[in-house]
Amino acid sequence: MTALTATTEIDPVWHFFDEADPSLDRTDVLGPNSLFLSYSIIAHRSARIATPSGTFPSVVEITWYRSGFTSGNTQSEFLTINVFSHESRLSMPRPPNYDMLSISPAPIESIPLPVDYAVQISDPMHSSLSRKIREAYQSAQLDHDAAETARRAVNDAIGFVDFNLHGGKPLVMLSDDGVLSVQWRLGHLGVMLVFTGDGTGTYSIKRPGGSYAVGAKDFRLEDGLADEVRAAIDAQAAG
Amino acid sequence: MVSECAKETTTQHYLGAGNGHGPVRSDEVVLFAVFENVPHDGGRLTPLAFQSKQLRRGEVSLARLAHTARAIFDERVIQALEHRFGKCLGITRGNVSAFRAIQFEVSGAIPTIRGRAVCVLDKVGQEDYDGHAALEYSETEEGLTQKQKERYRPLIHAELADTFGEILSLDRGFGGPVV
Repeated sequence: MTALTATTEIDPVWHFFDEADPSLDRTDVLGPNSLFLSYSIIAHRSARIATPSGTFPSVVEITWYRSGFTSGNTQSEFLTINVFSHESRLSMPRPPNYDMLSISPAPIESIPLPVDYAVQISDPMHSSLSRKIREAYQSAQLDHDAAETARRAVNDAIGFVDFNLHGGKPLVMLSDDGVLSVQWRLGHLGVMLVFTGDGTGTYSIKRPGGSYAVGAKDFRLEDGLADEVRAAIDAQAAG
Repeated sequence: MVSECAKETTTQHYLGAGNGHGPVRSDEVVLFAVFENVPHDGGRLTPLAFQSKQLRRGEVSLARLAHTARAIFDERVIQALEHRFGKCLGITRGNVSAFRAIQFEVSGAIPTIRGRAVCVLDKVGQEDYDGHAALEYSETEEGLTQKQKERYRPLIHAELADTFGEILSLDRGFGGPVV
């Protein structure tokens, strides 16, 4: 028997998305319309995925089990997948690094894939970065106003980093005023991303003789990461 | 020209002018104690070592190297704070001129908003020793909108962390110039 089952992990990510903008697209992971049903994946806890309209990704954490394993089995594999919903995205090109589920590295049966879904299996860095962001949120002790800012900032950051970032082991920091920042640094050089929870971010690249606080640029998260930032992060990771 | 750090020009000693060592000179060196619970990584402070609330209130404590004896630092900083922040790992140090040179610039604002990021104050409270100093956001930073502050403060904190440099042993931190 080769069939696989999976269980959704109800973790803080869900709570963030539960409170997401109602205009977001949503798709089920349970029931006859489950995205995962055709892959013999059974999500045994009810949850919904929210995907910002016109953007991506939804973040779903799924623990995959080989047949006969239980949720307590230590051989289960923990992966983060980003679901690229077909809704309102037919005209959009598939984002880079997204592979079809059927050719993902996950041990999934080769069931024909609906052409209107694509799924990315994140590499371990992606998964750990999302997790670090959530851990920063969970361990922070913030006052009421900062907590609300932090909730939005973390939600923004998780959605953004899982799709846009790769490479390196950045510092993840949640400030006392609820702002989430991610920093790659190498000596006195580095790259910082700042998320304040309003759908935009700020990036700064510190070059020799430069400063993080001068030359920073604001950007809309839905526009993705600027090439110069990606290149700078890659350079940090390689260093 | 509007002052960005008016408080730097006069003592902030709780007993008033004529007490303590007077305003911090730009050629001085200041020390920052690093305890286990102070965010650090790879032998350096991280930006999270600096909290917005503390910088707003001018409560990021420094010791003026020229005016702080090692014994005073041991007693009034390390022994006084280890029970709250964990074992002292060492100190970081920096030139006052370098902190005063940190600038911020807000992109997208018309006209561009640019100014000093932090002030280094001769700030001595009742519980402090006379060699105590403090970092505080500059008055220019106060003029930003709340959203601008949220965006730029982490960048300022990152610059502060870089300016302090590596965490040194107490002996080395209290020694001569660090190359």
